[in-house]
Amino acid sequence: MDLAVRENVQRASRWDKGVKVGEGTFANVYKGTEKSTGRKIAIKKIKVGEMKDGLDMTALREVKFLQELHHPNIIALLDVFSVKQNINLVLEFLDTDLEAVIRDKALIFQNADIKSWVAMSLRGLEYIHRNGVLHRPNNLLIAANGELKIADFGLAREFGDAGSKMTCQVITRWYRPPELLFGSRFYSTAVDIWSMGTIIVELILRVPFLSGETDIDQLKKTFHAMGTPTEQDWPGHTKLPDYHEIGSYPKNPWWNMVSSIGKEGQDLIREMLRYDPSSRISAIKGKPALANSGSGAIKRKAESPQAGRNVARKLVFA
Amino acid sequence: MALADNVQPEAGPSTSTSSGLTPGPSPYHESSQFRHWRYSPASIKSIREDLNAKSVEIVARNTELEKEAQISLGHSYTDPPPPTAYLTVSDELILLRFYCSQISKICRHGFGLPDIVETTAISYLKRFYLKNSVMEWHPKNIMPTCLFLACKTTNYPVLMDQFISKFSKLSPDDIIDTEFLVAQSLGFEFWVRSAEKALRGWSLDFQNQPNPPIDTIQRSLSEALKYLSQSLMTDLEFIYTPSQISLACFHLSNPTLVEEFLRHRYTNFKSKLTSTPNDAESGEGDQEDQQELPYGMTQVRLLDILRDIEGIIKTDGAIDIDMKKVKEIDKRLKNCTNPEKIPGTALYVKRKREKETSEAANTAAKTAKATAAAMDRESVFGSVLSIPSSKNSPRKPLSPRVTMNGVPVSAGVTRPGGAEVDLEDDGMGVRDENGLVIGGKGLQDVGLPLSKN
Repeated sequence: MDLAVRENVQRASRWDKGVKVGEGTFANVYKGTEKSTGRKIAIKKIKVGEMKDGLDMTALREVKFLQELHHPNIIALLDVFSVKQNINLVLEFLDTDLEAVIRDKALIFQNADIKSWVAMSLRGLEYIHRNGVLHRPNNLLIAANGELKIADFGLAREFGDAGSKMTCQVITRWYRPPELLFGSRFYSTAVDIWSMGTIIVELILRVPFLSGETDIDQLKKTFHAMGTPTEQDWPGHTKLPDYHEIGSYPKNPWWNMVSSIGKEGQDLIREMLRYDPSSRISAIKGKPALANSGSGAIKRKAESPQAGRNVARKLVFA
Repeated sequence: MALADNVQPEAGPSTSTSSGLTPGPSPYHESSQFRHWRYSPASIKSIREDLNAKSVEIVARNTELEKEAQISLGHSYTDPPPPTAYLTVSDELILLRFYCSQISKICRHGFGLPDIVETTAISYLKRFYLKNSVMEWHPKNIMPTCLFLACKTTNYPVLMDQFISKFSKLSPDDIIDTEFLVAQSLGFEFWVRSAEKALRGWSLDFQNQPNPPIDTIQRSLSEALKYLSQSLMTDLEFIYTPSQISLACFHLSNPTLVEEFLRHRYTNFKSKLTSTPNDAESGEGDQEDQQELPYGMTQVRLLDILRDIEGIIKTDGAIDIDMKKVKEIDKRLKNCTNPEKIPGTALYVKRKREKETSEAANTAAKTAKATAAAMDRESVFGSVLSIPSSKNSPRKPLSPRVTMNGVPVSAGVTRPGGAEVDLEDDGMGVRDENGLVIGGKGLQDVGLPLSKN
């Protein structure tokens, strides 16, 4: 037997596939166990069978990045093996995701929960960025103990070299930053920060913050909420490829609608949602901004995954 | 990965015992390349010798089996070649090197693909042959697969039809059939840290000194890139770090530039040390100072490493490919390829039939088991429920979430010249009450033209 095949058989034998818990056109998910320890794991079986262009690129990207990224706030890829022509990703098992938490109106969560999630997501994001990767879509999973994990690297990529174009048609529209909506093909980690910022607002409001129906509508909603940017707010934005005038909406203190999170939280959100990507806060600055903010309680809560635990538990055991 | 166990976690060549660098000081040390694809020159040599010996054995055995199979089919059969005809490790390497150089040619002149694709594909090919022997899998088939895969993993996908048109003797199936094997041999580790990025990093670092010689840096860069191409033909990437290899390339193109810069760096470092001797922080001991050394080692050590790398580039990287020799080896290879892997041989047909039979048996066993289980359940609990047993939650907590719950947007489809492929248009909070995806429907792939503009 070939060496590679032998290694694969060894790897595959470590895991018990268990039962199917989700099905999609691109992958099936099984809730299984590690044979030696009985630990719960998830197996994402990517269907690659009859693709004309061979192994699916999204799957390849997901594997590529998860193989390199190891952090408490990033979903852990425990193993990769194949059965026939399918790639199986063995991932740590997580009970729910942030979307479900936001959507479940029966769940009440407190500022401490939100702050803890924000801290964890920024920690994960900072690590991803430090490793030269742009995440782009956002899928945040939550473990039974309240730990938050960034998942879903199917659209991630390395930073482009200066001068190499990237697509602007990424990230779900509601979380897409204005520079991408204006067609910028050279962008940075700031796109992930904007997305995270809009998610934080959504966590507080419990409804999507900027829910555009088209790309134009997305810009309109954004400017309606936060005011049309001026050349001073965002130098050079009128030169972006798909720039068009959207109408001039007045500036208003939109951050009042998230006042329940407190001053530090508001400030962080405002920094994350700056129009000018180059002055938008970075994950590495956002992280301590939150942890070191004036209130000791915030710091304590934010540092500890305990804070989110109650909500997660309610959700899991509901 | 079993083979990686003997890799030493050190940033220099693995023969060195000094320095306390542990995985973690930089993102590079966490990379799969550092963790699983670094070897000492001695371990590479022994891996290759083992692979070679093993495949000679397999080929010899299978050639016998092929003979029997042919005879049992009533065909006449000529005797297998004498053992001297088998490829040696160095024969295998010559062939491998030739196909590595082919990747460069195809990338630069065939497709006009960027360097990152070229270096990644070459690394894939070299890594593949640390797990497989040339006698088992001919590089003429594996090389295009490595390239095809590298295009996808580096975000420059080429459509199969377009890709295959550059290879007159290949069909799409040749690629698809071996793509999985290649991915598997790579341990599904696709991110190759190329020395090219490090090279550009150095060119920026060099500017970070008083009166930086901008013009000299610019001129040396293009020459250093040439040496870098040569380094791709060697084993350097398995032994040294990308930054060490690329610095050596700069050193080859302009020794003064590099030495001046290093002198500046190390002098700076020393003066910083002596200027703050009473500082509480630095008073903690020599150990900390050691770790803070520029590039994790002394200047003497670094220059030693550069010299070693340069030696290898000159001896292994710069030599011209002897086409006569390549052809001779390839001719010999025809007689000593594992017959199991050649479509059309009696043994290939036999193995295929065996595999199909066993797969059919497996499927049958599975079905039988499932039926039995279903019967079991029925007898104990009555009829099997077809609805999921979860009580009142309309939404199953999925982990990890399948990204395909909504409308699939052409997943897995690469468009002409496209550099990006859409994933399912799903994400945070885009589903409305009815479960319809309502966000981001306008996701469209614009992609990147492959041409230079």
